[in-house]
Amino acid sequence: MIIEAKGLTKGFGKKKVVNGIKIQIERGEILGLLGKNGVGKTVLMNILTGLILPNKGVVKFEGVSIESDLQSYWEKINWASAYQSLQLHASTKENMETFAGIYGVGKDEIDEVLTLVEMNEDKLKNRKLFLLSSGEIGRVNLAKALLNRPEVLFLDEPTAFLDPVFKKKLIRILKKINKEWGTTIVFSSHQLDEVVSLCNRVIVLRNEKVSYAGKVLNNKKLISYF
Amino acid sequence: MSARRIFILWRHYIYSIKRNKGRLVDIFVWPVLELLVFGFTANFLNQEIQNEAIKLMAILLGSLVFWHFFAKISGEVYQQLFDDVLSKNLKNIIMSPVRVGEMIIALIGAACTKLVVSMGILLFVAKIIYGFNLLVDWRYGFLVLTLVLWGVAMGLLVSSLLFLLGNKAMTLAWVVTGIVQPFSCVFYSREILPGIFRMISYLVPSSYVFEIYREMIKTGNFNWQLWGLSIGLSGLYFLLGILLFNFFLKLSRKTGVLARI
Repeated sequence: MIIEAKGLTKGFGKKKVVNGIKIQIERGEILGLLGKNGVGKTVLMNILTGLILPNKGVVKFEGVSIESDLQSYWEKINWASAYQSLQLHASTKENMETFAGIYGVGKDEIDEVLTLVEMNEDKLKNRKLFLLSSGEIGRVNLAKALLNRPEVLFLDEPTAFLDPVFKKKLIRILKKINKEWGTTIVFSSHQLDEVVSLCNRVIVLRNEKVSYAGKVLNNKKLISYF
Repeated sequence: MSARRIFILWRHYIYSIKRNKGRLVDIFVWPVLELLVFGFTANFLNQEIQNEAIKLMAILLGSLVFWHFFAKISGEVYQQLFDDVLSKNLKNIIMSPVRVGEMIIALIGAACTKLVVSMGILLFVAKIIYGFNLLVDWRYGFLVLTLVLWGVAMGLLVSSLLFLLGNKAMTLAWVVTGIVQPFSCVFYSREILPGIFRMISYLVPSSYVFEIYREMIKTGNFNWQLWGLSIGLSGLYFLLGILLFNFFLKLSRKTGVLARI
């Protein structure tokens, strides 16, 4: 088991978002995180990545609480969200160079990940992010998240702004890095088809709790747990 | 601490002006325009009053230049952070191997680099157009030291508010130097201030700097006692700034503010 979370409870003010959730993530699996809007998928992912602290509960990476050395945890994982960006006034290349420097990786890794997300053309690489489409920014976000060959990759609705063609390609890319790099992937989405075609296992959230955790079911059955 | 990560972040913050032309205007053009207005005003008043003893040019221009040391560096420290917030990039930096200390050093380093260039231009323009040279007296360096330390401290204090209040802090930041200025007694003596304002001004390190400067212009004496007070106070605010930056960043993970930035 690569990540284990127990008794995760988080609320803002009087409203509880997740309550006593237990999650186990096996090394090398692709886990889908599902649920209605506002059910707490992003909050749960933020807790698992260490961005926010739960009110109660603990997240362990390889058996050790992530709070004991958060920076070294962040060296090993990475994340991307459709609702985040990199520096908008910098080009794709400049952004990649910044994060490659932060993660201590070189130009070869930059070329590799940009090629993977099909952003390695010079005109795309040298264009400032604010001149790119939302989908292209999403691809650059993903490239950043792959730079350090993470052991665990957290993706929060990564397909939200992607065109249908690249959505399919993304599924292929994620399967490839899962197989070749051994990267564990935690993937949240509203697109059940994507989850069904990508994930080995799913967790469905409902009313602050896990309503289903197990193998991927067909769409109709999955929706019944929403 | 990693020197590589500090350098990468320093470069990231320095590039913010290369990438964003609006920021170039803010850092380099605006201070020069202000200098021109104050310079011509001082020239005009000197002609009207016809009294060299008042040394209006030195007081107005010198005070303005000194004020920019504080205003520019404090603004740059938090603006660099806000640039990443506006791009929705800050979480990428925080959720990376970058340590808080590395981020603070890079923020300060990049702000100081920009300050050197910005003030170099300002001093050059002041010398060329008005024949005003702030580099003639080495003791001015001590005043600059206080203002830079106090400016960095203020920049860190404002930055820390981001982790307490979220994006609302960005609106508040713009008015902070405006709030500090009346209590800094930049262009007038502390005695002009009414009771409570005067009391507050004693807590503002820059108020001592401008008091020392005016005394230097009038008598040539440098009040080392007041300078000691100003640098000590700035040091305290600097430590407070670092502590609050750390504290509110940690707190923002508990409150969830960090996720909403």
